[in-house]
Amino acid sequence: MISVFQVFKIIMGLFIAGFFFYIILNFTGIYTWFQESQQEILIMQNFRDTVRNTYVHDIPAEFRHFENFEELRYDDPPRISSLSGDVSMDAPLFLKPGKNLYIYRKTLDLGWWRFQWVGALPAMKIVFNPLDYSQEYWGIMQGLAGIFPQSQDPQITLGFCTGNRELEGVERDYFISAIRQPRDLNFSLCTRDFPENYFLIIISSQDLKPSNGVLVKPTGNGTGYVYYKNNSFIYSDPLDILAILLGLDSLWGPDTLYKYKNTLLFSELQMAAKKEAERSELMRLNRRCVDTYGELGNILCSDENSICRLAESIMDSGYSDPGDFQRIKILNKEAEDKYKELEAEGCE
Amino acid sequence: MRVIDFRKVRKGQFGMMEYIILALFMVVIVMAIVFFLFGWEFGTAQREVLDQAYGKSLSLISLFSHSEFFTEKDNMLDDSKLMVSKCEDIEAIFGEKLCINITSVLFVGDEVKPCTISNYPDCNHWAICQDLCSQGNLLGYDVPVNIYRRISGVTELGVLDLRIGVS
Repeated sequence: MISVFQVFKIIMGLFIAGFFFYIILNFTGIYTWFQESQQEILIMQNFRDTVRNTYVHDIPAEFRHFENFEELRYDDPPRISSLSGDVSMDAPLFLKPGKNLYIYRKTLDLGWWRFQWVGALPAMKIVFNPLDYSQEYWGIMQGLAGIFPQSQDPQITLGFCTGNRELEGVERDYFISAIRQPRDLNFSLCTRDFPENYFLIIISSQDLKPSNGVLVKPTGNGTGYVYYKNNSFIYSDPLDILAILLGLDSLWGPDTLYKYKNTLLFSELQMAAKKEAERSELMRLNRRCVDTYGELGNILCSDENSICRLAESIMDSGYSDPGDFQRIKILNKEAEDKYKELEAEGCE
Repeated sequence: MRVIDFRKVRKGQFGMMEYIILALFMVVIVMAIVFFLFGWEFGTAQREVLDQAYGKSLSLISLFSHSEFFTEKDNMLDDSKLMVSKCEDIEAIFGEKLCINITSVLFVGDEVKPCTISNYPDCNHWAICQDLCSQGNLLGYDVPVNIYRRISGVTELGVLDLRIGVS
């Protein structure tokens, strides 16, 4: 017959075994989750470092470490976030989340100032549908094609669509050489349905309401409107259109990156104009090209019709006044001409 | 009358106590291992904070040497742009104040001349965010740089000392 003491030993043993089992399971669960979260944060930090290196050194890179991410978001630029946390970028980044990304640097040349940015794109196809023929419309297509990278892996291709027909996509360099000569393609409105990561760009002066893709409608002087469903955005350079495209089909929509781009650009432009105006005054005090530096300073930052004031006004108006965009383009050109004069005089 | 053998009773109680004490020790050992592992992780995290601060200062140096606000071209600082740079500009561009000191390489007998509007270009030292520099707990690096002297058109060698505050 089993004694009380033996029963006690059995029960005690069961309690101790259960306790150890519980501790080990809990610990393993917490530790595994901790390690996986840490791993995701490390990957995002590596991505930040890769973006920074590309921004500083202009060396493109591929990034494949997002393959095991359940979710990657860019709804609060410049922070990228996953289920484990978020990491802030320290270079201007235009990102479309994907498993395998191509990272590259481009420069928006305003003549007297350069705005550099980094693109991080997965495999995609850009499909153009130019409905009207003119030098300006062809220039829009060439400018847009130029801001995509030459990339085979991940594959980024550009092509055309007319009616229900989609023409074979080719890599950027080949596409740019193919569209070097403007010509009337007699295309009709593209009605084809495209899979994910295909972006349709319709270029036309007509009032269309396309069911897919964006409509780019130039209004002259390098500016115009981009229409997407019930939204319209003013564009003044190809980067505006890229920012809108990258937000399509995302949870955060096209206006997130559009506002991010314009906030970055115009705040940098405002600060650059102030600093360059101060520098022009310093050069004047040192009797270098006195008149030209004086005129440049007025264009950059003086009264309401100077670049720094206009940039502030554009930001305050929420990027909704096309007149301001056109005026600042004209002033940028004037500032560029003044810099060329200074170079010719040996002062810059 | 029933006789109770106290020797057997004491032996049984002693046996039970053995098991209880053994179980207690095993629980203490397991808890100690768990605390040790988590403590190790936190200690590693503390060390990583310092490593990250050094890494951040290096990356800020490369961003500073590349920025249009301070350079004539990549890795060549422009002395006229340094003259008009203020601490609030650094904060606006990089998101925080940085202790920056830039000095042209000096020959024997030269003295350090801090740059002001009145003595430019006859000066060789630029200092930005000096209020941060006077605080303690800074870390960073100093690296060689090129400095383009706008007025004379000459490029000089210099040293860029960039420090960040560590909480």
